[in-house]
Amino acid sequence: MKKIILFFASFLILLGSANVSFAESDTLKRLKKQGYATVAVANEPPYSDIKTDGYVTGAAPDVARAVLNILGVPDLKAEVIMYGAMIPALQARRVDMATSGLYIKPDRCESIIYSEPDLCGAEAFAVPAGNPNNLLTYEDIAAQPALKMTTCAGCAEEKYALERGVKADQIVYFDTPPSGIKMLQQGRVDVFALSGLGTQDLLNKTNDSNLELVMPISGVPIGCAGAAFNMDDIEFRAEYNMALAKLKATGEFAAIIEPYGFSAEATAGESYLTRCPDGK
Amino acid sequence: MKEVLAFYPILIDGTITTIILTVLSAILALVISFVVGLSRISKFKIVRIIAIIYLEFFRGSSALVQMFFIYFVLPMWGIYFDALTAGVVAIGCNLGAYGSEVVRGGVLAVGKEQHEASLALNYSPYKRYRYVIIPQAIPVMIPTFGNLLIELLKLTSVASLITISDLTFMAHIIRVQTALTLEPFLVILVIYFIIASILVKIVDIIANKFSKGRNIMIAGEN
Repeated sequence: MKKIILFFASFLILLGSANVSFAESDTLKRLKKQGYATVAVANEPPYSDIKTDGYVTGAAPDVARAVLNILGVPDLKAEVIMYGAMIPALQARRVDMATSGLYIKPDRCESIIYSEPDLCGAEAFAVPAGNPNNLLTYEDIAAQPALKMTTCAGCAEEKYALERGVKADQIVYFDTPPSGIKMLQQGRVDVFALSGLGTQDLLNKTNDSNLELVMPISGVPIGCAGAAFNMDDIEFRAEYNMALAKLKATGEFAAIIEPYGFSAEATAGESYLTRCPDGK
Repeated sequence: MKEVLAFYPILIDGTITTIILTVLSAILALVISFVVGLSRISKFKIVRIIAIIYLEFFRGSSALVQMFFIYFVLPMWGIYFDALTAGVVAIGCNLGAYGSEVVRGGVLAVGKEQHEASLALNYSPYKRYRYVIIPQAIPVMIPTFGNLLIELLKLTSVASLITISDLTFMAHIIRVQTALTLEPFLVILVIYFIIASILVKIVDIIANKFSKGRNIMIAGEN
């Protein structure tokens, strides 16, 4: 008798969960109805790229555009905001989602939820040409306490540095990445740390022969970014993930991100389930 | 420089946003200045206390924090302003607090005998302020208000934190997209200076209009 009840119960649960996953979430219904999704985008080339007329493109918004198209939301209204304002904007429901190099990190998973990773890449340093202090890893910076490094406040790189023994007073924070490069050029800091492709893009644009790229940095995991949502949008996140998986399967995904220098293979085998504690 | 000027569409957008934000917050700030400033000299204690609390709160905490609070924290309690409104409210309330001191100072600067004379004529409080005190106080207030207006224009540059794409934010976008530092900031420096110069000119015109036919120094000295 118990077994039969158990069987029916599990059958009912299955039926229930199937219903949930097939019905459209309220968020998706609303986005479809209004015909666009408002997406927070930070100013972080090559994750995002802003054209001279203000049009927003770049790897992350382009992926989001394609995924939303699959979901039946024809348009993406990009709102370019400060990097640090992205999570508050999601929490206050100022935007429907956020995308552009927001790495999936355990402490961020407490405030927002992520899609499956779409852009993964190695870390990098920018140093004076010839790398006079021979900096190849964060441990090298920690071993030379007189050196100063620069990165952004709250970035993954800050955490990597602190975890590997770099003292808090060795870190100088920049407001935008070009400020960090300026500090490096002016000799205020000895090393600049950021995502690999971000650093590379910036060095290409700066075009200064006195600077050099160190990539990849060994000893730190590759960083993976995904689209981010409000905590309550778990169903919408599931729909987004399904569409993203479809996009990855067709090869269209690689066609979107590879021109920006990202690798589609790097995302294979990566999941927010392993990157967020409790697989949130 | 050419690379930066190629971004002229967003620079124009940013300039328009900055001007709209400045004008709307200036109007709000002016209204608040008079309401709070006059409340400070009210004969009702409770009104004076509320005015002082307002003044000390908005003057004593950072405009940036207030803006952040209005835009990101209030929605969690169900109060929802769009970005521009949140910016206008934060800047207007903040500068309004400073402005209220200007109004109070201006009114108190009007000679005591003016108050007494209008009382002797049996003017009601409304008539007293409307026809005697405030017309004489305004010319005293205008130069300081002019100063605050310029201050307000510059305060708008922090509005980018709450997703308002003002001129400074556009400069940041251009900076990140081109990795140039001098040029975008030089461009917006000039634009801010031009806007500020226009504001100064407008304040001058208003000052002339209000002091025409009035010799406020004599009125004050007698």
